[in-house]
Amino acid sequence: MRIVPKPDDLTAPYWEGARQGKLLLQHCGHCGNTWHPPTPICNRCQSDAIAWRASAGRGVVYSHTIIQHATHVAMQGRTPYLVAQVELEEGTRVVANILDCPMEAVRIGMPVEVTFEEVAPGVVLPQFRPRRDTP
Amino acid sequence: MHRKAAIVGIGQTEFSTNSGRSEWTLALEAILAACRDAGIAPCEIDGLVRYSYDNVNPAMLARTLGVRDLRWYGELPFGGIAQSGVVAQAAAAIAAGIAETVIVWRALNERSGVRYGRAERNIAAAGELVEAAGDRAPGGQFCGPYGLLVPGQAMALWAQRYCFEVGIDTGTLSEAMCRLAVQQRAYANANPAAMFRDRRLDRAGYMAGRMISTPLRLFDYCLESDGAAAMVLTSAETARALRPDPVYVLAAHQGMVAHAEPSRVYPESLTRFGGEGNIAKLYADARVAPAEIDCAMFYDATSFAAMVNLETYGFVPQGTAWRHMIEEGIGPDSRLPVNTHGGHLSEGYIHGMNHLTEAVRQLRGTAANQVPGATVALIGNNAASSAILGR
Repeated sequence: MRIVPKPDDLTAPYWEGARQGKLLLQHCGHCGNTWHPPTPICNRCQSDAIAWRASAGRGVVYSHTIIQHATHVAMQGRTPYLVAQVELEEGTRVVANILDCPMEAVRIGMPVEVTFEEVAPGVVLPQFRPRRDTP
Repeated sequence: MHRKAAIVGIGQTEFSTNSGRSEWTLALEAILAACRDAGIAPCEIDGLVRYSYDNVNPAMLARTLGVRDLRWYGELPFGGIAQSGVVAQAAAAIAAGIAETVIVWRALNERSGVRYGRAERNIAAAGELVEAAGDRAPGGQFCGPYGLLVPGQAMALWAQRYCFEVGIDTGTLSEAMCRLAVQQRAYANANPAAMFRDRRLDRAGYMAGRMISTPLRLFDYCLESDGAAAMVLTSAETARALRPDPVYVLAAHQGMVAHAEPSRVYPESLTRFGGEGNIAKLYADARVAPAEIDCAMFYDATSFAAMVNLETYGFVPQGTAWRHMIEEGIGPDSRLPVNTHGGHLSEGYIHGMNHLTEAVRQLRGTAANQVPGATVALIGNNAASSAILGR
């Protein structure tokens, strides 16, 4: 069993973007705000002049936890696993797992970059891994 | 609203892992006990305020309590967020003259029925692919696929971030949370109503608890329980006629900052709670200062969430609750005894309604772990809802 996102009218572009290897964020053409999760209008200036824009995909780990106790049958047998929040250069935060890195090595402030993981046929999650331009 | 409404009756069932009866039955038991305690007949009830999570609704109570004329019913979203919000709505209705005698309650078979620590409540568990929908945090489409599923995991993110921001290691944070969990257990050991009245917990036992979601261990988490509690609120004038020791609502607030619901994942800060000025307004409305609070009941889904209430409500400066726990604690001889019934960690978990009934007992002078001469109590859930009650 695998937990997958259920796209809706508001979020379908985000998940379609992930399928195409892009981390899309909503951007306000009026005030320049970038945010997540998606909303119908800009959450800063209330403008409806909003559009999806690809993130540079760079950020730092904002917080993290290693989950050792499964709370859904789909996670049974998958523990321990790490969940992080990543603060993007665009200023908003997303939830992700940190791939290509031992869980114990993840630290707040660690530079990370986006990568994409196909968790089921046609279902792609934006994920993060240690940034390669840093040692 | 200051002193316009008062709590005149409290009632609760036993807290257990399997009540063996319906939530409707549990709610009625607690409400009827509260009516007896208040000295009113159930038919006098003209208002009801519920948690939206409750499976018992006003129609079910109107039908079974012999209510003649229900004038006010309302509800608060989510679980713990509603805690003091139901008091705020009940007191507001009374102060506005809309209703005279209002019941607030919470009844749930949380252990034998739907468990809030499990994610199957929001994500079905049938089939190879199961869908996380909406933007619920945690558990929605942007959290669930990554395994961030329940509030207790989001609170682990808060705790890890807190360590970073205040500059301590997680071992130091564990020492602080340990003090809270061990003290609440000691209170529970002296409270006949507590589920864990017979189970001791010391530092070694706490540290031996298995890691659940780093840095939070087993005993940092609340119990899972079946049970119910209820209170009767009425106008100050009626309250004084009913009993010599009404407990007045000095102030009660609801609050919501962006992304706080149902559990913080995306707000600007994971470690600082409360909208700008809300806590100052709470104290101003109550006409008391933090130093005048005799005891506090803090919402303790986790020990960490309980502890940071010390900062949220201004009892200690931001970033120092951990040090307060290690140096002073929340025991009977501390500046501020907290969760004197054992709280969710050790008495029972019913979304904070038992914290309200404990505050009333403290102010009546009838608590199992009585704070001598207590006259003002604060009930808080990191500003999501807050109440200050007084004699």
